[in-house]
Amino acid sequence: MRKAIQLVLCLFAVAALVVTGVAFYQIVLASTIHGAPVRFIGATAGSYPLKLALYNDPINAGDAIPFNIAVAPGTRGPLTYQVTASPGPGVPGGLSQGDVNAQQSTPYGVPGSITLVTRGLWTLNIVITGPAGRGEAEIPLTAVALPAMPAWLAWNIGLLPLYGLLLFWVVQTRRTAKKRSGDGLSEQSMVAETMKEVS
Amino acid sequence: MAQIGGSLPQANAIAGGAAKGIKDLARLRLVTGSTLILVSLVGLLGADWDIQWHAVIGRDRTFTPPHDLILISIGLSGIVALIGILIETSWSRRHPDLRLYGTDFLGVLRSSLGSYLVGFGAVCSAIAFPLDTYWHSLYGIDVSLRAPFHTMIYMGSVLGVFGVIYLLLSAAHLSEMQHDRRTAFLSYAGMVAVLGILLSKFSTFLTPALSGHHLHLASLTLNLFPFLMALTAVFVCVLAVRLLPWMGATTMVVVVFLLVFLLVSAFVPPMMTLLVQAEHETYLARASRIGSTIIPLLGQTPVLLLLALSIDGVVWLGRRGQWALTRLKTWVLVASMVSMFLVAGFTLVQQIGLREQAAQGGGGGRGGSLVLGFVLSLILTVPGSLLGEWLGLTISETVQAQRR
Repeated sequence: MRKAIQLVLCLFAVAALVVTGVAFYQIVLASTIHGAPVRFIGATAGSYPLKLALYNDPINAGDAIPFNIAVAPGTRGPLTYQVTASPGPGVPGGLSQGDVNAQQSTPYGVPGSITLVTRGLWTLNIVITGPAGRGEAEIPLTAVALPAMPAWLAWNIGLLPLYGLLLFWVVQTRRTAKKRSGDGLSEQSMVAETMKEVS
Repeated sequence: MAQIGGSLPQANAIAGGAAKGIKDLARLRLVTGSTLILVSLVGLLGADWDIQWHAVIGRDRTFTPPHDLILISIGLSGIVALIGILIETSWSRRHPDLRLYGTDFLGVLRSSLGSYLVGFGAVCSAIAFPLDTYWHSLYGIDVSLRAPFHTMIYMGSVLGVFGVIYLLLSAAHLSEMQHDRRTAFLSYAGMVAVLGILLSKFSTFLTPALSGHHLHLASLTLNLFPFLMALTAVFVCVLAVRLLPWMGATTMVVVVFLLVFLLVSAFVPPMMTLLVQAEHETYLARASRIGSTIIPLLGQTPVLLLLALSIDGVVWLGRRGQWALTRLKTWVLVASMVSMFLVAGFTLVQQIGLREQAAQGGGGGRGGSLVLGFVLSLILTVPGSLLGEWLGLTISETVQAQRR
């Protein structure tokens, strides 16, 4: 019985850690390790026509979303980029800062990533500064999330460590009580035997 | 009150190599426990910083600096526990005498119960992290501290703290068996620190109850904070009295709790200012007035010293007057109830003051029912203290019995 519980716990831990690893991959590494872009959006930031390449469609809320920004060929001089995302009306989120690596260049432009924390409508603000001045483009994006988990299920998963701790204490308390009563019994029998020997 | 009854072979029965092995085992558990205390302190700093980050900046991505600290703490606690388990397993294979002092897991591993608890806590917290990201993707950045997966991360860390208590108590017990006073002293000192961290974790987590968790009875509104605060504070204090052999143990634990509070207060504001500048973050509109100044977590109140001093005073009187255990327990309970009534009352008044300050003197008009609700809320410290004391006594007894 005890071994079976330990085995279940062990399997649970291994499976959970694998799932967690995959989830972390989605959240973090997917922004650097990915295939080819799946969606291109054209926009204009002041005097800079640009093409935004996205690697995810639809965009998952909470994941780091990789993108590339390619400014139309022929634009001269060094450019700096600033990317933020602001939540649309009714979306419970704050301003999200994107990371752009302007030093690096790929066939699809300079790479970057941003996280849209919550599902709903967001506006991606791209600010480009260069020799032709400062330009700003606003691109609407929609982030989606997995179907909502029922609150009772979420709470029961969330309370698993507490259940584990309580179960552990209940088992230990019962074991301690049993041990105590066992010790008491053996002490009593020892006293009885001694009394017999004395008499 | 701290009594150590022996269920394991006594020092004089163990000789030579086995004794050396037990001494080493105690030291290994002390080192593992001490490392885990540092790791859990990192996690605590990350968690308290994260509360500020959520309040004034909002969650703009999964890997914010405070989240990084929490994740480092979770990862390190899992790794340290695993290393401890593997070393103990290898030692017990080489020295079969040591098998008595460990718990078997699947017939493969043999280590202290505490290490397993720490490992299980780390796994729970690690799983909770992506689940929390999912929860935020559904419900946004204004999710309360008491959301399902915040609770899971938090409870995982509490589980880890209990694991460290088991580890250090076992180290203290083994070293006492070997008359290794230094290791025993350091183990008990570690337990003081870890109980202080536990109190800090509890008080942080119950702070939202001050404003958000009420019981509505007709026109009365009862605040559950006094009940929860009494439950957790009395629980930790009773654990301290029962598990530590020192006079003034509870006061020491609360002093550590206050030192942790000072550390957080000194660490968070400059880190917020620094990172807001470095990462070009912007404050949320509602928080622009607060900025990087620390948001008071009223659950972390210095007035808890009153509880500690009163409990220690009663224990001192009891030892001096050689009171019977039942009498001592009763008076500890009375002291806990009275002091928790005052501590919770002070904290609630502080909260009301802050709320009125924020509302610029607005409100009023329901004075009578407010006062009655306030008094009834404070009376909830009585069942809270009772439950806290009962839990503390029951669990400390179990911990003592399983301290190998």
